[in-house]
Amino acid sequence: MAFLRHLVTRKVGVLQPTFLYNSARQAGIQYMDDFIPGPYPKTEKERLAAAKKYGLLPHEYKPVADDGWGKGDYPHLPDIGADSKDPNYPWDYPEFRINYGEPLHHNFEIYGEDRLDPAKDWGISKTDMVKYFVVTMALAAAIALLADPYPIHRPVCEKQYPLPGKVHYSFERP
Amino acid sequence: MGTAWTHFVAPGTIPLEFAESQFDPMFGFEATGRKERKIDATIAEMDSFLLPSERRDFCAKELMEYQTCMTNNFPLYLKCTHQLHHYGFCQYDDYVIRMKEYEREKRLMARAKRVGPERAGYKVAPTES
Repeated sequence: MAFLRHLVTRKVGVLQPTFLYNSARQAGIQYMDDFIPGPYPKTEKERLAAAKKYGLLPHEYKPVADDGWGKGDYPHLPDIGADSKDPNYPWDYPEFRINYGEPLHHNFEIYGEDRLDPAKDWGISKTDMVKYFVVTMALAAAIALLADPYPIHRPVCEKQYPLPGKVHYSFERP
Repeated sequence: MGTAWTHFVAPGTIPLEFAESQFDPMFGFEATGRKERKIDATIAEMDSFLLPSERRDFCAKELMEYQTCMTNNFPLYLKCTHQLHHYGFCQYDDYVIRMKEYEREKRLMARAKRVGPERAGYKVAPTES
């Protein structure tokens, strides 16, 4: 299955570096059923078993906090959105920037390329963001409030409609 | 200058765009009287043409003639150019009347400042009896 996907998603060619990279990873076939979380690991032995189940090294494995939301022993992977991942790495699924058999973040659906990226470097701090927002909105509000009594309009009166009970006059001689 | 500048440096000397006139419409026309604006179309006629309320102005008749022509000559709308121009000229004349009303209001405001409120020609509120 992975090889078929490989054929349709990447350029076909044995000598492509992508093929060489991926060939090592295609030894074992995994299903999504393998990642159904079990109960929260309490002992060290359960912890090691859970890490093996998700294909992680024991020092990488850190379960999601047991806060009653039913994540079980699912690993808490680094909070990195797809936008922060290397775009030049030959991903198996370049649209998600993930590899085959890789455990997904439990918030994977909102960490897509077009959505949230908690690790994104915005270049300015949160304080500066709030500062700029407040200053911009305050300037706009000040301009709107100060200019409100002095409107720019065309030098015409209101449009006249032949409504019942309303009389309008023209400037012609009667 | 623009209206914003005039409103700023000399507030109250020019009328606002959609303000109702504070002067008697017949003031200054007592000798000759004024010609009342009339429209030939009836409300039932405008209803049958499904005219929206903003089109039911003093050019509704011309608009209905244009729409009738378009219906009769579909799809040769070039035959209705005359009616279209007629409607446009009507709207132009309507706009000129609005500009004249604004100018009259502006001059009467300046005059009211000069001669005082008694002789300004303000609208007389209807007395309750």
